[in-house]
Amino acid sequence: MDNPNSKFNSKLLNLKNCSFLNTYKRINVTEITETLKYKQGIDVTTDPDRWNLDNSEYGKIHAIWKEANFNPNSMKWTNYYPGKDFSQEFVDDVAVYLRLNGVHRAWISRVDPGYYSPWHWDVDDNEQEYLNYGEIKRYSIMMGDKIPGHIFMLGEDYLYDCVQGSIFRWNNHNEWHSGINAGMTPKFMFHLLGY
Amino acid sequence: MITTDLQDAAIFKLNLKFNLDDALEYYNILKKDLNHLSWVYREHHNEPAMIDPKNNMDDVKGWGLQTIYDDPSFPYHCDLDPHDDGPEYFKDTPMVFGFFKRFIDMLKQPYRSFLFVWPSGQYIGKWMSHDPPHVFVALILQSNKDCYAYSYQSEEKVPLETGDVYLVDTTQYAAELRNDGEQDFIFIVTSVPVEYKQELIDLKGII
Repeated sequence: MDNPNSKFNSKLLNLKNCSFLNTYKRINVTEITETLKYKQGIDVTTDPDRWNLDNSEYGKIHAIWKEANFNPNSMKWTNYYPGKDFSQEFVDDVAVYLRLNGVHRAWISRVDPGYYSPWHWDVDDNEQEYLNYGEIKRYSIMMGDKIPGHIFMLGEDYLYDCVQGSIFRWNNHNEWHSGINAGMTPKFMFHLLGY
Repeated sequence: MITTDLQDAAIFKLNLKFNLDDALEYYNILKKDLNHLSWVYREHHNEPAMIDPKNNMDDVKGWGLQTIYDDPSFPYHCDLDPHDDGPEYFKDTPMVFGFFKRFIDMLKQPYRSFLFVWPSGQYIGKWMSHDPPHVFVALILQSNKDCYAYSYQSEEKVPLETGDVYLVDTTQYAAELRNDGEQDFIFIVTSVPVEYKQELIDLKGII
C-alpha cells in the first residue's frame, strides 16, 4: 500500500479512533486564523469559575488532572465561536461538504506555544438534546499546515505534521483527547458536532 | 468506430450486453436509499476555484461506488485532492451490490467506479488519462442521440447508445465526452489497468 507518489500521508490510513477524510480547501482557513490571532476568545483554564460545576462530569475531569499533578500554569486553550469570532459561513460550508443535516455546535480552539490541553473528554451540557437527532457526528479540521510541535492526541491516534485542512471524523464524539503546542506559533483547530 | 485492431483503438463497443432493467433498478436503489452518498459536482467540490474551465460538469450528479476513504459514509467525489490512484487504494462502498457487483466481478482490478447522471449540456473537454495507465469501461443506462464521445484518434464522434458497453482508452489519444441532448445521460464507469485491455476486448456475454 505504500505509494511514493501518493499525496496521502500513509500514517493517516491506519488510524484507530478516527478516519482521515480529505483536506478541506473550499474556504481559505489561513484568513480565518490570521484574524483570530488578534481576538481574545474564551480562555479555558483550571480556574473553577470558568467551569459549570453543576455538571459533575467537569468535576471528574478536574479531579483526574489534580490527581495526576498536571502543571496548571501550562494548561490553557482558547475557544472561538461562529457568528461572534469568525464567520458562520465557514461552519455552514463545512457542513455542506460533510453532507450533514445539521450542526449542534462548532468552534475553533487555539493552543498557544508552550501550552496544552490535558487528556480529557469534552463535556457538553446539551448532549442529551443532541441525541434526539440521532448519532452525534464529530469532526476536526487542522487549520495549520504541517507545523512542527503541533500535536493532537485522539484516543490511540497521534495526529501531527498534518496538511492544512486535514479533516478527521471521530469514531466516538466523546473520545479522550489532548492538544499540545510545543511549536512556535498558535495551534488552531476547527471542531464540529453535527448530525 | 469499427476497427479490426481493437488493441490500438481508443473508443469502441465491447461484446458485452447487460440487462437494462437490472441496471436501472440498481440506479433507482441508489436514488431512493443511498442518495446521501451522492454528490453534485460543483456544489460538493473541494476546490471550486480550481475547476478546469475546459469542462462543464457543474450539474453532474454522481455516486462514488468505490472509495479510498476509511469512512465509506463520506461520499467519494470524482475530483479529489489528495487522492491515491491505482486499484490497490480502492475499497468497496455499501453500493457494491447486485447488478454493479456482478459487473465489476467480471473485471480485473476495477477501481474508481462511479454512477454518473449528466444533465443536458454537460461535457468534459479534451482529456487524456493520468497514471497509472488505465482504460474506462462504461455501461450506458440512458442516452440520447446527442450523447457521444469524440475520439482524437479517428476524429469522429462515437455515439454512446443505451444498453451498450464501451471501452474508452485515453492513454494514447485524447477524447471528449458530451451530452448535447435534452435527456439526462446516465452511465456507470469503472477504470481498469491498461494491461487488461485485451481481456476486456475478449469479454463476451450478458452482465
